[in-house]
Amino acid sequence: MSECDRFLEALASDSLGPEHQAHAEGCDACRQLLPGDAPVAAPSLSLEAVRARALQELRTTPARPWTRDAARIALLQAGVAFGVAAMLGVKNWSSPMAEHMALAVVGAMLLAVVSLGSVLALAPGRRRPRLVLWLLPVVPVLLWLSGNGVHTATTLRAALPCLATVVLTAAVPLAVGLALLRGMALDGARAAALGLSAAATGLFALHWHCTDGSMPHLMTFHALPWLALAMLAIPLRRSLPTASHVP
Amino acid sequence: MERFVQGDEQAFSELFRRHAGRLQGALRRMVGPAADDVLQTTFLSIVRARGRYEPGAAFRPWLYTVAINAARDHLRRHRREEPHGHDQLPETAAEPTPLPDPGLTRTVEAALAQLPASQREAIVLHRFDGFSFREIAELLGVTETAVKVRAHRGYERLRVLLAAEKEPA
Repeated sequence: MSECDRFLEALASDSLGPEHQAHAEGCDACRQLLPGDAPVAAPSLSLEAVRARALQELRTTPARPWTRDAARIALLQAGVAFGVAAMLGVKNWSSPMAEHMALAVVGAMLLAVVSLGSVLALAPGRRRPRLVLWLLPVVPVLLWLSGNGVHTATTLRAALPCLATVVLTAAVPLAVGLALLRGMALDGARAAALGLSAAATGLFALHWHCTDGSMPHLMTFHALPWLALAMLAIPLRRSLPTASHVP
Repeated sequence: MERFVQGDEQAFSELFRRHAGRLQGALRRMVGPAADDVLQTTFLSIVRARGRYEPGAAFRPWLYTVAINAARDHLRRHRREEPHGHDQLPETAAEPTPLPDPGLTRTVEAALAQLPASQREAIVLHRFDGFSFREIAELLGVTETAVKVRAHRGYERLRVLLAAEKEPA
């Protein structure tokens, strides 16, 4: 290992000693990598222009706490979930799954996914939105627990309305959520988290009414479109311009 | 910072005075001539989304996180529009701002511009802006080990590039 390599090792591990310093001072290549004060640009016209533009923006843009947006999307999603559940109930309020004690518990948990999930998805920073991704294995298990195993939608035509309900119910919450995501830095995990939460509105509505409690049906026509919508949220967010890069 | 969040212009100006010059230097090393555009985007971002600032959080790492996001967004769009953008050596400096030892600065910047963006970010933040590897890991949302690997590879490449610059043609 050459002296230069040793210097490099020390530099990259934050452990520069006097011997490394001495080597670097005598080596043309390494000297330029010695840590030191960064050259700070003197005040320039461009900086003043940036400051003036930002001040103008500050005068015209009121502070908007993130919690307000989060509360709005949570309420919207809960409203859509209950609204669609009620609309479906006009024709068919009860389902064979209703015999299961798990129905109410799973319904409450899906509602938590719908409301708290969206709040976490919009929360500042990187960690909280990623917590929502734990739903990926949890929700399919919840659906499986709520099913009674009775297979009634034996044809594709009978099963497709479930898929359509998940997709159509999620459309508005997902669109509103994506518009809000424009106000923060591009983050695939955040977009997926919001997608999971928005698409759970359809799962909640279906949960009370679907007459097929078999696992293949619940996974294929409930969980799969839910997951697909969440994945779709990533390229959709990527295609939108970003208004603010704040995490 | 709390006063800035409330819309206090003086508080904003003070934050700007403290951080803008240094951030401009970091951005110049990350995105080259587009540094001023990205700097503007960064400050507009923090003004528009100041409601997302969490009380008690340190301002400088937050500002740099926003700047890195803006720089990445710029590079992504730039790559889409012009396939051979900043990945090539910049022809000229962003603007004739007086800097200490401009020849050396330009040489280092030219070498930095040849590094992959992830290695360039790690080196700019570590070498020029004095962040520790742990802080950089927080800023970039990756592990400390990943930052060290990026920095190590970047320093290695940078040393080769700078040595080549010194060799007579």
